[in-house]
Amino acid sequence: MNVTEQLTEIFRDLFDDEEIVLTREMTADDIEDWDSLTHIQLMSICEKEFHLKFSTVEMMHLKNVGDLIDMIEKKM
Amino acid sequence: MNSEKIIKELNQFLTLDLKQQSYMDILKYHKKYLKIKEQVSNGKKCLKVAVIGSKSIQLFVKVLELMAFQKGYVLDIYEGEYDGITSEVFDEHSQLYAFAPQYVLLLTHYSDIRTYPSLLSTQDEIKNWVQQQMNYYHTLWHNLNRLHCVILQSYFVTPIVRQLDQLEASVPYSQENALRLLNQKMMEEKESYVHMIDLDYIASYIGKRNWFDERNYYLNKAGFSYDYLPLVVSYYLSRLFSLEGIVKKCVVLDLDNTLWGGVIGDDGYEGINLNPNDAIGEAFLAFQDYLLSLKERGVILAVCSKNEEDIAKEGFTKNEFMRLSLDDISCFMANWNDKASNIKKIAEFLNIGIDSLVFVDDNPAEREIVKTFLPEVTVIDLPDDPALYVRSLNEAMCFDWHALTPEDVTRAKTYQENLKRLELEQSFVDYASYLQSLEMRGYVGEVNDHEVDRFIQLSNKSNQFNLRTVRLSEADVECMRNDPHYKLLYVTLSDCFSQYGIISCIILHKQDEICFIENWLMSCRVLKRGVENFAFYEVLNIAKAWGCKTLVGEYIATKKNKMVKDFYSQLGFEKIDDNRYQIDVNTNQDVKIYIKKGE
Repeated sequence: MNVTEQLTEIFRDLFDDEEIVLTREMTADDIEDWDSLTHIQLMSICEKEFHLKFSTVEMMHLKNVGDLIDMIEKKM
Repeated sequence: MNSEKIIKELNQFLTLDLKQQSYMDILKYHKKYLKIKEQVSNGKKCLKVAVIGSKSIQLFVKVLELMAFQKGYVLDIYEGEYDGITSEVFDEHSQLYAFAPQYVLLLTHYSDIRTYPSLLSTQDEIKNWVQQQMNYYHTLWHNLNRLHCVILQSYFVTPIVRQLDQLEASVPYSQENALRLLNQKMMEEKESYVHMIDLDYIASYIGKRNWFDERNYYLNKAGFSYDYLPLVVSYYLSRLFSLEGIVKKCVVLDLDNTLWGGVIGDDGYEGINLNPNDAIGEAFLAFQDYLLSLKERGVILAVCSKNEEDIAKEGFTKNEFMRLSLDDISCFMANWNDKASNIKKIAEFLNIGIDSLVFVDDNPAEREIVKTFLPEVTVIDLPDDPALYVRSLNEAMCFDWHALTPEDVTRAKTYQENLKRLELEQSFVDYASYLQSLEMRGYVGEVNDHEVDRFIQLSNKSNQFNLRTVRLSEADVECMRNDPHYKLLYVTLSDCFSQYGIISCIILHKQDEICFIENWLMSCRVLKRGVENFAFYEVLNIAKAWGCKTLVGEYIATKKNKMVKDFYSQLGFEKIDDNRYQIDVNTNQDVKIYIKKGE
């Protein structure tokens, strides 16, 4: 499974929506339940699933799902 | 997903020890819980709880809600605003007051304090600083007390970053010492309705390097790492449940490989391992010492073992290293019956609820049986290594009572004396001459400062002999003590064997010509001694002195108080409706009482 596929599963599980299909341009505006609280969870789950740790700077610079995928791939 | 499936998944998750689960999983199931909350709330106990803090509390609140639900409570939660302690508590028009919570959970952080003593401050200046901080908290508590709520507040966690390095611990003006002094002062000066949560202990337990999470602080304004949310919530809930009367009272212990190494039936009393010169023997001895320390604080010890009774007891009477003696065990059950039935018998014998038992056994199969057949018993999953027994039992925090009373400290003695009393009882032909021989003395008094702790403890712990099961907070008691229409009565008892201390509580409420018995409860340790008749006499006197004509009592049935279903009828009351009973205050009691009046 590549990063995008794994991330899709994480999103589907977290937002409880099997229909979610990730695109690089996707942002929090595109998913109803994606608020600041679920964002914290999303970051924690990614760190746990991909066995990595994001820095404060990296987390602040995330603009969309594409950035997230790049960041994970870079750190893996 | 349909709701039945969600409920099933949720219930499955709730069989786990949530404080050991990740906060992410708890949040995931909290979301499921919200979907079916309406459906599962029916018949559950409800509590109104406010959570306020200077740091982010949004996730704390969600974890709290699910973990409370696991224990059968549906919470109505008021989530304070960010950085809202001062603004909400000091504004009586704030939503907090409109919400009127029963509990206020307060999460503090060292950054709540804006100024610390300056370097090289004198002792006096530091003392003034502490007093100034305390003034703030006193005012805060007094304000909240208008709600008659209970406050659960955390002690300050001293920071990991230290301006003065090691000197922090050696000079009085360091931030670390200032916070320690403040914590200390808080302990000394806290009001009776304030209960402290030892957050600094939790932080040290975790290790402050992990506890503090700077990234999470800057990004989310979290006071500590979210990884420990479930643990912190469990500490708050443990205290809250203890105040709600959910407490454990007794440890039921297996013997072979739990209290000692080896199997006494095979190895004999001299062959079991309690050797102080052997690492394993020492670990078992340490576990016994820990159990003795629990007994000292009022936890009842019982034995439940698959053994021949005579042989099992030889471990206690004949092994030279054994720390526990038979006198320390209030109920000794060694036979070949299944443990679930034996545990039930132990609860019956000790006259306590099955849900107040903690079961400790090294054998996972026995633990499974107890978990399956007696889910209300807390089962400790002992680790394989006996060196970790003490820690494992201690970490379960089963006995997180909210106060320790003189009655707790003498409890084990009383149970022992009960056994002697039982022998005496059997030597008499009739019960009356037995009661006579006990030389009982009793006293009914009005609750003063000295009796408040025990009065609340007993009110919140008693389940069986409890007519209306009215649970009380310090604030409730304070309120009733200041109201001339209420009288809070306590009853003490002693006999030729022991001093029981306060064993019964009665609350009377004057409603014009009626004296209503708001609650009447008694410890089951003194059943069938005539305490209720003795107290009834005093109750009638008070009602008369109040100028009331009738005394009205009510029985509210719970799962546990069938014992007193006919209590008022037996005292001679007549039934007025389904639950209520009345009696003329000038009634004549012709029951013989064997308790003499005395302090």
